[in-house]
Amino acid sequence: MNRDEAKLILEVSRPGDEAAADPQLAAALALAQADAELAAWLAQERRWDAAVRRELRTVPVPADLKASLLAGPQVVPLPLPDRRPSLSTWFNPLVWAVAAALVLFLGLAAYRSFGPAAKDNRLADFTRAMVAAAPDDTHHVDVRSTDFTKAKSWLADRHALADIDLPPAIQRAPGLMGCRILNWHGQPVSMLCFVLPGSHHVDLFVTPAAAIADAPVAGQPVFARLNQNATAGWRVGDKVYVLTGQVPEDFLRHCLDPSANALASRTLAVAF
Amino acid sequence: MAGPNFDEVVNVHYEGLYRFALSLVRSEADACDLVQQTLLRWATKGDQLRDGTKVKSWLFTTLHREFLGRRRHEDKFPKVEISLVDEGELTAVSAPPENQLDGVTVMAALQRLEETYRAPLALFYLEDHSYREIAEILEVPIGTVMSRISRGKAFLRAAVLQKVVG
Repeated sequence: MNRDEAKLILEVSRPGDEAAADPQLAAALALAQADAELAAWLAQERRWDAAVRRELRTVPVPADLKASLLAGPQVVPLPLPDRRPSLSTWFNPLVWAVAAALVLFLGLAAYRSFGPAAKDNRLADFTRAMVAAAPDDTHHVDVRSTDFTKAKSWLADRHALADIDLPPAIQRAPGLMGCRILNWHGQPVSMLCFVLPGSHHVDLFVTPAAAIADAPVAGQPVFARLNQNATAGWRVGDKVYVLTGQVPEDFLRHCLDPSANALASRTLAVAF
Repeated sequence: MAGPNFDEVVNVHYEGLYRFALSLVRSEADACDLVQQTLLRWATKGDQLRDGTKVKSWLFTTLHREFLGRRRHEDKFPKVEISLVDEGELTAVSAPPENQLDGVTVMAALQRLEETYRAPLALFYLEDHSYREIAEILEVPIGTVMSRISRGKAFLRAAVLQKVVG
């Protein structure tokens, strides 16, 4: 082992490291004992490391962090007790009724999926298509802008839907990154991309309600989960909105809550 | 075996997790979010950890993975801080006097380093992890960690000197 090799090993080791358990470290330390220049370098290195270590540990931690962490998981659901069905459960007529309904439902679902009259203009279809479109890393937005007015103007200039009602909490939080125009079954879709406080990336899609066979009833948003994405669909006037992102569903609920304050980085802590 | 309860984990590790997170994300609010998310995962999945001696390593690994996951999202919108532009690569210089250091200066210098060096250095200094433990947490080979710590220390020293001397 030469001096440079010893230096590499010594500078990534700590004073308390067990040389006995690490032959390379033992060899490097032995060399340092025999080499005055290496020993001086090591002493300097240790002083520097100790100073950096000491100072970094003085970096203040937010005073309320511990309290918010301890308060956070209080509502995490406790594990449910073991509820394996007893023998009598299997003779319960309700169980058989539910099973029959399930078989009927699956049959209908299979017919809808594979039958000749299958449609793909439902809210779920629209949501699925938009979730698939959203992660296009190379072309996520057509234009970048943090200004909502300018983004709407850009959409309007291209004859896309620009009369967009932002959900209340998003309206009050900065975070617009850009927008994009998509097409779904010949209908224009305006997309707005946001990175909201807490680094929560969400995309908002807007399309005419007429394009969706089962558009939600106004005032009754529909929440769902698609793979890792939480989604929310709702209707305002003649438009349907879908908000989606790899965020907790509660985050989307908070976005749509008309009484919610502006999104803050601690929103999730409250939600949890 | 019964591991530590949630309150114990928070009490013992929240400060170290926060400082590690802060070194990665540079923003207090984002660091708090990372710690919250990490401890939420502990609250929901920590009981799956069989070896009680691995709690610390589990927490730092989880926080780092969470950071990487968020960064992948943010990579779609790369942010360049004006103050970091055109400074070029820092070159190693002799060590500054240790008595001129302070925590804020060192943290600021650490945060300016490339991410490749930030995470191993933060674990090396903040939590006294061995390079073998750091390799485990960051899920990279031991040799890679050694060279990153070595080069990172040189860059950090240069960055601190730049701050201290001006």
